[in-house]
Amino acid sequence: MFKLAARLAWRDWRGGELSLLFAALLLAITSVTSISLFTHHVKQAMVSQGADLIAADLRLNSSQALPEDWAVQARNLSIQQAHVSQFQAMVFADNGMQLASVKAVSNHYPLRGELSVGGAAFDQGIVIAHGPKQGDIWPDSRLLASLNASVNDSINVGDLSLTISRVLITEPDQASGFASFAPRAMMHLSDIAATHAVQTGSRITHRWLLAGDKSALTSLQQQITPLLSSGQRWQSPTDGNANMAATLDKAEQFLLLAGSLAVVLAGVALSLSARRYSLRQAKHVALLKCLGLKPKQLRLLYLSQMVLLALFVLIISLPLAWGLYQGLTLLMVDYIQTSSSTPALAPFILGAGTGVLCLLAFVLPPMLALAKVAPAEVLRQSSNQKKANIGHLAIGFGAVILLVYWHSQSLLISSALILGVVVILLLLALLTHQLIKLGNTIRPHLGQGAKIGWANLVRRKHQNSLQVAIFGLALMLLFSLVSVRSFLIDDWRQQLTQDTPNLFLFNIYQEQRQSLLGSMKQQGLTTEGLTFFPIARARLAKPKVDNPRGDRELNLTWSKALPAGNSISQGRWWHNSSTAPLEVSIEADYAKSMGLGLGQTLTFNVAGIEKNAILSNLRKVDWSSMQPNFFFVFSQPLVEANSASYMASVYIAPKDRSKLGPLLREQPTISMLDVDQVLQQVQRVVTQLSLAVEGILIMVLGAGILVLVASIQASIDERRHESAILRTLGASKALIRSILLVEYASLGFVAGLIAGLGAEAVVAVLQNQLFQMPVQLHWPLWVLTPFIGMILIGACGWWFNRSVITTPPLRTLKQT
Amino acid sequence: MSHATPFLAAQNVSQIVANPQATQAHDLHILRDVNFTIEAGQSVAIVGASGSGKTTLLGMLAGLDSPSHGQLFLAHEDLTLMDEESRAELRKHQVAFIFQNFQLLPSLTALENIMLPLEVKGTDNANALAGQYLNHVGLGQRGHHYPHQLSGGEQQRVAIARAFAAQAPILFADEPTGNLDTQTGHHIIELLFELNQQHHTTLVLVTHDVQLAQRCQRRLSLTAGQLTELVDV
Repeated sequence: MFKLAARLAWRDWRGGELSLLFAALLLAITSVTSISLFTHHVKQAMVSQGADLIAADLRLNSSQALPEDWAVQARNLSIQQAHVSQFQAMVFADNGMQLASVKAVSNHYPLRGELSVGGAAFDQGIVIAHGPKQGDIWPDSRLLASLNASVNDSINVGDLSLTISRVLITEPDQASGFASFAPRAMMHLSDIAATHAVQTGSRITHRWLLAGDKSALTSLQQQITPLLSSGQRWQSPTDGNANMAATLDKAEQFLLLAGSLAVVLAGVALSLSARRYSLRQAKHVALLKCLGLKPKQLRLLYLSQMVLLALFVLIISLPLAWGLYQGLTLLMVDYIQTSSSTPALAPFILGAGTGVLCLLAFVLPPMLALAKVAPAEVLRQSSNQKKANIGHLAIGFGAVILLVYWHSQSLLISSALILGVVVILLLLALLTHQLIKLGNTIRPHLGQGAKIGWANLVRRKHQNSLQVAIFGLALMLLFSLVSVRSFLIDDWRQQLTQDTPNLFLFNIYQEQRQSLLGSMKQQGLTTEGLTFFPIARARLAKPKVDNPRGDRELNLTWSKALPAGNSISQGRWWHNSSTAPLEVSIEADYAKSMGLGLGQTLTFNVAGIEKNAILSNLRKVDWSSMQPNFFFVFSQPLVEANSASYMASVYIAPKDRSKLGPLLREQPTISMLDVDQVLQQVQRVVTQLSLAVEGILIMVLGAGILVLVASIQASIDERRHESAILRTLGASKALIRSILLVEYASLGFVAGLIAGLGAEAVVAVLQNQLFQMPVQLHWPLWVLTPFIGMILIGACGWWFNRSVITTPPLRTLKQT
Repeated sequence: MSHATPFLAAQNVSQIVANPQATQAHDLHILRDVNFTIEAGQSVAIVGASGSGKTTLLGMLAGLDSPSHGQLFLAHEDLTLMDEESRAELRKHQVAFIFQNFQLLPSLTALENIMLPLEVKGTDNANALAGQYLNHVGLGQRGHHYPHQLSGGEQQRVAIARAFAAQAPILFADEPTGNLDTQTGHHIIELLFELNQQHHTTLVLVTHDVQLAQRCQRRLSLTAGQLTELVDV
């Protein structure tokens, strides 16, 4: 039976019967596999970018020294390790002294990311593979400037004299929050003891950097986690940077969404081509039954054929997907880089699994049902065009739900998509029906071709409703994806405009503000957009909150106006702040975690004085704005103006970075946090992700076009037959062409119109629920989509129906 | 297999199709109480006007469809007691067909179409045997042509070759000349009877071609679902 199946399959293939089914399955597996491979690659790149930010694949932060045997355990698992200890110490030079944040690193630091050094302060950095050797110290530009020292000078950290061998320009794990305002000095870990700067009870942070195989790291993490004390916690690349994490998260959601759409589209294409194939096979089956094949044998025959087809497609599609993915990554090699290039097995399993499941759900049911074709069918002159089987549709729909969930692993994406699909299908079918009815009334006023075209539309209204539903569905999914891509990329780009602040200034006293502005102007630095935020330090005294965050000393500010990038989520911003009692505004998530509610009176301890404030509103804060953001904002000053300190943020262009040294020398007491490197990393990731999103979009567009083609092919036999009859009746090629154009363009117009509205709804749900972004309406979409649908489907219909016009009518009639 | 049962027969066969828009009284009676027996080796023509139920009766005799009432015998087996699986098995060994619209698979060449019944039976030298039959019908040079590259007469010759290649003792033919012009039809009739004699096949054919019906040993006439035997006077 298998031999017969193979022979028949080969003959069907040769005759072109299997080509559309083959193409649909090929596209399903290739697109899903390549999208999955690419997603995997992008994720790896994201993790690798994140890894750069912590200089490792995994990091353990600890306030105490780590047990020796942990390092042994890591070594046994072949994990690379490095140690970093960070503490504050006074650094002395001949011409000055400065409190510095000293970072002592072991030999293998950094495990991920790049360290760059220069020969003078604010130099362009040169990448270097390791940290300073024993006896050397690398101060950063700020420290060098404030010590008035230069390379080859000796400086002291505690009791130890070290030689400045280079200037530290960038370090991968610089973005360790806003905690370390002091300038940096990097030295070797083994020199710590000789400094005598670290004594029992000194504040020192230990970081254990790990890199290596993911499973080994997971296993080590599992072994060590139960042994951790309260001051020890793991840090993974993704929680390295909140801003980056949010961006990566959105990108990942997009990729999952796109992958799921590709699956839905491929499923629809497969289902359509399977239906056409099975309709064309009905007579074959009847004949084979006449020749004595039993239903059981026929089922086995078609099952074997499908297995053969699946194997054949897998053999071609998996390498093809690999090739596509390689091509795409090659195109983006400058933008998306990963440390590991090992091909992952999971995407291939996912792609092949999706193909097999699609085959089982969409293709096999109609194939197996063929065994039920009555053998007497062979005696009938005309073929019996059966309506779609509800049971088969239900199986296919169930499979789509399963596949979307498998791909997205998200109930939200799955339910939004499925609901969107159901609603759009119903709406489309209903509306098409009504529009075709309406067309009936205008038909008498149309030209000859348009008249027949409309008559065809009306005659096939059930079939057309289905076809419009499929066109509409494919277009809706494509429009949705295009708009999600646009708003996502816009959002990312807006997040990081060219002049996003990259330098934070702290410890500025009131009287220093003017002199700082003066110094900056003198150095030729821009002061545009520079706003000073007053800061006071305080503790929440009442209510006592059972949360470690509540016990901490907080940085507070006060302001008459709502800070930029903030929005009120509950309550109202104050209007008359000078006379009213003291009010406070708290960041919404923070208030929630502390259990604080609107209208509550809170007591703060500000430098020993208790102050009561009413919690009058909760704010949403855009943490990715890179502007100074505060958990607590008060309506009135908490301390006297002259005892408050201020902070500010400003953008320093690359060409102006060398002016920071002189500025610091002029304003030695002001602390500075340079986040330029972090910003550049984020910008790089955004560029990479934007490109990745474009790449994926192209693949999904391919899947969408295939659905359109499959749908057009599904009715091509009937159209070919009708055209042949019309031509024998004397219709010109031009007339048939105009009939086809009217039919497809009208279907496309309706499909585009509804798809535009559907896409708007889907995008709104996704924006609101999945991407947590404000909902925007895209009215140009509503106007454009009907025309896009008309042109796209009109063109596809015309192109794929060329043979309808060019095939001699006699041949068509002979074949049917 | 019991030889007490007839070789090929219909006993009180009726076929009724329910009319969905009417009551039982308006059901469509395609065949009414049809009775006849055919002996092995006989050639029988079933004649009648279009819509008289000829093709339905042929399909039932070949086990392609089941009657609403009555019994049917094929190769001494009671078809009405068999399920689709067993009927298929019986067809495989006992029955061959020729159709009005040829029913050649469009994706198969002429030779492959003839090979098909042999492959279904699992015959080893299907290719060589099919080639012989193709030569027999005078199309030895057209083996690699597809059905759409052949004329109607040529297609029917391929269908005849396919039917005889099956080497079945009973051959059913549904209007074998219905789609052909008179001259081609004549050639096809000659070929059909020549092969029939060579293979000693029992031939049951449906036709309204008088010339064709005259070539058969017996003629059964169907009128509004009722059967009568025509006797030469």
